[in-house]
Amino acid sequence: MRDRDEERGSRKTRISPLADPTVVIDYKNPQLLRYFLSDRGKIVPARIRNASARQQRQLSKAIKRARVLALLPYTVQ
Amino acid sequence: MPDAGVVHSIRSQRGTQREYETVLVLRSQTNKASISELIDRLKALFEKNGARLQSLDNWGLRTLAYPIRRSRQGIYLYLKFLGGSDIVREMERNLRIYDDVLRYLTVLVDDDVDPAARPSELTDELVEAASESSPDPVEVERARVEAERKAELERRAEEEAAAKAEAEAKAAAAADPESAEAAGAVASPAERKKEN
Repeated sequence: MRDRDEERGSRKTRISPLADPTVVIDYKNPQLLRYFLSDRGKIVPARIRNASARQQRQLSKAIKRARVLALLPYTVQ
Repeated sequence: MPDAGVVHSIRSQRGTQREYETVLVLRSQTNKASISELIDRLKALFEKNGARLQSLDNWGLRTLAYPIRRSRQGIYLYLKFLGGSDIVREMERNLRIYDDVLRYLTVLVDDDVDPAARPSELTDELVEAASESSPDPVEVERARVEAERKAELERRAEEEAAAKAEAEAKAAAAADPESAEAAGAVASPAERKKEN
């Protein structure tokens, strides 16, 4: 189990943009929100991107607003 | 309606207002004149309803994440204003009438703002700048990458040509060692000239 986790970790080591405390979760910042979307355009679960419950709530709201304005896709074919 | 100029809410009695922000997506073909006309109309609407436009920004032409009414690109306009919920309803009703407005989204920023303590940041230059539509950053980036790739290809072609010329000169020198030794310095530039 641990081996698998490590393997998974080594494949994709990206630093969360939320590590920076000055970052505000906002629907007007699609570059930030894109990190929390899968390549299909779905919102990625909090445990995958290590977002806190509060952050995830803000994220999902912001992503949904950004989708209305076509800043982010609803789906990616 | 008894009086259209009064905000009918508990906030209007306290003398405070709500702060909203709206993002508009306009069709990419919208020209400068119609953008400034739209802004003027909105400004007049705010004034008539006792609201106030606080700031205005143009994010420029952007590629949409998905096509809206067959448009693949849109001009983004951002505005911030003070007022009540009735002004939002009235503004959105007006926006629905415009064909150029593809999408709009109004978000409540602050629900208790003293209008006197928050002077409007709006200036004529800001309005002027907002009606200008700048080129799409995505397109600019794509053009830059394209230019870089072209330059890289040209550079590589040049390098290859130079290497080829050198190899040929060397081969010629090897085939004819006596003359190369005797007049190597003279022969090789002459040969290179011929190739060119």
